Amino acid sequence: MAVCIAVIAKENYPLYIRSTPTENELKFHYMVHTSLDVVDEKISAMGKALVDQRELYLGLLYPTEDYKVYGYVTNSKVKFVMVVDSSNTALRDNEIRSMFRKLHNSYTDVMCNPFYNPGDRIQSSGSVSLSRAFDNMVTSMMIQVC
Amino acid sequence: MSVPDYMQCAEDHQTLLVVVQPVGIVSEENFFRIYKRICSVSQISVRDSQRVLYIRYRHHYPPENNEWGDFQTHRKVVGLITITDCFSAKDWPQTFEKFHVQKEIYGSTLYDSRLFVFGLQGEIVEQPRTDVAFYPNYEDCQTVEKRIEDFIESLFIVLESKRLDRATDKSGDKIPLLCVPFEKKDFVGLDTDSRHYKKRCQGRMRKHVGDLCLQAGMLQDSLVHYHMSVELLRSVNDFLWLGAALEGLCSASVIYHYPGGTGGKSGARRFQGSTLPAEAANRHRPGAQEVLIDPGALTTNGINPDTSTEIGRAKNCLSPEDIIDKYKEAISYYSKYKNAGVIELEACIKAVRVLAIQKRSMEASEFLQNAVYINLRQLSEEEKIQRYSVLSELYELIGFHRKSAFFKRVAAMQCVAPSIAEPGWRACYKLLLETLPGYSLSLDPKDFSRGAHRGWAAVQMRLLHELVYASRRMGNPALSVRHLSFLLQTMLDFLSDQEKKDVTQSLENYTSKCPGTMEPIALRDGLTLPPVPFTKLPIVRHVKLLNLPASLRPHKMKSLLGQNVSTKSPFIYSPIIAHNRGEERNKKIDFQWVQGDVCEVQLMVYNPMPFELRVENMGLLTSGVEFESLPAALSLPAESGLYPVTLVGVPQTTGTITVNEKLYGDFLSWKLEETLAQFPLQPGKVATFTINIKVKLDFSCQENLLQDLSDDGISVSGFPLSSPFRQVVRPRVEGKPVNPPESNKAGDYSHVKTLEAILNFKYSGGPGHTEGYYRNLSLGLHIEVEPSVFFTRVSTLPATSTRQCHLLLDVFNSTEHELTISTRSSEALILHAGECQRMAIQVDKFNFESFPESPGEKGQFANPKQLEEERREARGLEIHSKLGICWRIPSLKRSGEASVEGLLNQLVLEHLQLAPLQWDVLVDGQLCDCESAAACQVGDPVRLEVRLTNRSPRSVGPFALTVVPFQDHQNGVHNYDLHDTISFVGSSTFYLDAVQPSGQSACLGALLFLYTGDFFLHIRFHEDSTSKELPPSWFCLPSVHVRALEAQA
Repeated sequence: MAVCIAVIAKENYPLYIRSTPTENELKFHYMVHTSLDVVDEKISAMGKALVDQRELYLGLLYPTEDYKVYGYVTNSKVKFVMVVDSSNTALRDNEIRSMFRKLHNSYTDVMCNPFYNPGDRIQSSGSVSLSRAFDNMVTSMMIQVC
Repeated sequence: MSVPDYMQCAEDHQTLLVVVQPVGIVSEENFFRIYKRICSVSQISVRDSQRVLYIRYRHHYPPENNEWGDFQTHRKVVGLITITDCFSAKDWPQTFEKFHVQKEIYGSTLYDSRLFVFGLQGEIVEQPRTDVAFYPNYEDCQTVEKRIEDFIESLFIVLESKRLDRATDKSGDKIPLLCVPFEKKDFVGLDTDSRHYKKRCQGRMRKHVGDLCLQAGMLQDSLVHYHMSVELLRSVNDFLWLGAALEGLCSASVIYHYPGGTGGKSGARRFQGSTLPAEAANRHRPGAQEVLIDPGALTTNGINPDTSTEIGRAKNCLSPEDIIDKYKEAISYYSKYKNAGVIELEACIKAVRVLAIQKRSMEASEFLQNAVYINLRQLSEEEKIQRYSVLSELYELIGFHRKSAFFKRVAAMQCVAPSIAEPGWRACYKLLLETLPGYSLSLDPKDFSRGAHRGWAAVQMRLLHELVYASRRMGNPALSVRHLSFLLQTMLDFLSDQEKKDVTQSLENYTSKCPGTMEPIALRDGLTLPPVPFTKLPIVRHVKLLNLPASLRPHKMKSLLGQNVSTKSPFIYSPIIAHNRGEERNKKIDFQWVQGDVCEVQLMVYNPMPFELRVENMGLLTSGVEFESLPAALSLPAESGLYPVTLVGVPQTTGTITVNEKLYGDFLSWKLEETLAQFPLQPGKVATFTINIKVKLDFSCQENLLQDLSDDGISVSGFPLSSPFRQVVRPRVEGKPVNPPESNKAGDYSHVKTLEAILNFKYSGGPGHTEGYYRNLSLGLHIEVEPSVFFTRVSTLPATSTRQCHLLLDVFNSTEHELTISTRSSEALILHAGECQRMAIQVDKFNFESFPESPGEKGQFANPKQLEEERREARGLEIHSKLGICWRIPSLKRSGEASVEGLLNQLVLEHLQLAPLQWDVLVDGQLCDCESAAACQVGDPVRLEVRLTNRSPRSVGPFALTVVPFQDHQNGVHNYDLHDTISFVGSSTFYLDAVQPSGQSACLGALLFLYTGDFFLHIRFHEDSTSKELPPSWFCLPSVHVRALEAQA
């Protein structure tokens, strides 16, 4: 399943990032960070399209030797980036899409929490219980075997 | 071919490659001086044609790359220029030999070569040679450029001949097969007569001719040749060369579409003539038209059904979109051959440059992504650095700053890879600095001070760590301290406890060798590292700007309503403006600090770090005002709780001061004018303001008759609170705690009074005055009043005159000094400390009824008690002013009035009061009320008249009076038996009728003195009911003293 899931704020700093503990975390930081170039490019290309017709799913941002990086951007320019193992051929576009949608819904729940300040990091250790729910959802996405 | 040229771009396909090399020992400086001049001749307009030749100079070119010259002619070294030093004719043959050896290296491909000899003079120089140019030295060589131009023209002649040779050689019979180095063995034993082989030969040759045309400045021709070549090669599946033909097509099209070039390094490469439409060139080459091929037919899908898009543009030229498609195709063919990795890589780079110009970043990134994965042979470390740097540059070019930064950082790391013998820390550091923008990291801590951290902390932190490490290894500890401080300051929230410990530990280590400064550090490439104040450590929980002490607080002068407002609004009062003001106040602190005064800020700090924090230079950072901060130092234990710190600072400047307010007071009095005359007060000067204190006090003694008076009856009370500046005037009787053993002590009268007053000074001056601020200085005045004398007892004795009486006062000196007490009429009485004496004062009786009604009587508001109170007070004042009792302590030079008004009770007052019935006794028509005796003669009847004036509000009387004469023997014996010495003429009893108010009545009688002597007449009232209603003091008649003298003869 996903090896890294990141939520990135409108201002391009990470709100949440989690990767498989077995791998070097920094590597994914770099991977997600550089993928923002592509996200920016795709968003600016999309800018002309009407808002309601806009596709939130950005598709494959770029492939690396071992991973594929997918992107998704909300209307408020919050980005979701998911890194999956490229050997995992079971994951097709549709699965990735639905995973992003789930992520988006969960993120919306976090935003609805009156104790969450938009722009703050979503911390699993925090006292905000909804962020725990978000964390659990991410965990399920990372463990779930397709 | 193994060495990629990362700088290559599409327009390089039209250049001729010339290698410039030194032979023998030539100093680098001299070589590059000449090399630079040679390079300036990069384009030549060929004589008699509109064609332009472009030259690419290289001072280093691997010969194995040259072997690919047939594949792409711009890779072929066609010219060689060697530069050499030769100082004697003796060395000349050897030098010339070296030149030949050098020529051999590229011999197979060279069209022509030149040798530039510097320093040689003599007969050899005289022989004119085309391939050798002699110059006496490196300064005196003006003809270098001319020589190069000639050289290029000679190259052009060879190029042109080759082109024509190949282009016209169309028979196809003897076309040689051009091949790349690794193909040679593949074609051994192939059937050279097969149609397939011939087509292959044709196709490759076409491609080659296309290259030559492009180099010779015939763009349209080259396009045509490329198209034909593509056609031919596609049919025989000669993929590598097909790729090359396609790339040639792309290159020619790029040159056509983007005359400015794609490399960015030589924007002014072409002169104007070259941008002429392709048609112009075609006119000179009519033969080119016959081989026009629709490029639409060249797509892999066969014939393009829609040719309409081709109308209106140069037919053979690819559209910008097609260029990319063709590049893609070419690259896909190249990728089939492992040995063509460099070609593929370079093609990718060229395509990226084109896409960058077309602003198609996404596609460019795909090309780059592909380039990243092209596996060349084992690269040297240097080549790796170059490769990553170029990738970084290309990503930058297409606007992928993060990716660019990523590769730059990889390049930086490569500079110091463990496999490198001499790690280039300096280069590493420089490259790392260049990555800063890509990670949105500025090294100015101010950019982080506002709001929350906005950035990718994990990668930023990593970069900062690397900067710290690189700068340390570079041998610049000041830089690493700066970076480390920056890391700690800006990334504090993201550091784990362990990391915090590590960072601070290493910071401590570094600073022990190189202390941190507050000066900006300037780097060589113009970057400045601003100082990093640790504003986050310790964490400040609570900041409170302490207001100035009340006396130093500035106040806004009250102006007329709307004076400020009216400038902004047409309304006298507008709630909106008031509201705005309130908001402003919320943003700012609602009090002011004043220039030149010490200001205080209280901070609650705590140390979140898992170690002790020593704060050595803690100060206030201010903006907007010149502010002298007085730094503080403290030490916070690890993970301390809240810890209050007060920081102080002084805003700068001074001014003159003027007082502009007045005050009023009661027991305090002053002359403000005298003080005001000293203003405005210059800095450093002192103005004196004298205040006189005068306090009223009760001089009665505690155990005296005054005990029945309540405290608020004490005359001190009742200060009118009319003065607006008097805030607190609070008299109170301070009951001193009386300790039982001391209670007998003389000074223990609990009549110490405490008075408090507040003097409000409002003053202003200097800049504050012009801005309408003043200061309010409140001086508290605390006065303890102790009576110096007590009147322990008071009583009256009737005086001889009914109009007077004696007031007896027991005066007690409660001070520890000798005290004199004096009255208006009597001598000064000296009282020793603690002494009590009686003093008698003869006073005229007071006619209180004659006082005008008290001004305090305010009609219906005054109740009888108050009236009575006021009346008494008025009486007290009257008595006091009459008596004028003053005390003086000569040793202390203090003096004051001692008032008795408080201790005169009703009884005493009645004695001091003139009775409302005024009795006058007249002897012989003379009023006798005094001590002096009335004189009369023995034998003569003396007229005695008693006159009553009624001043009381009611009628009195009638009265019966009896005159009783007596003699005072001055020994206490009164002799009343005087029947034989005095005889009454008429009755001794007088009758007075009732007297109406303010009426008068009199009765007459006469006395006859028979003997001489002093006689007294006592006039007595008959005791009857009428007189009993009236107080006895009203019937106080003067005693009459008559002296009977011997009748004169």
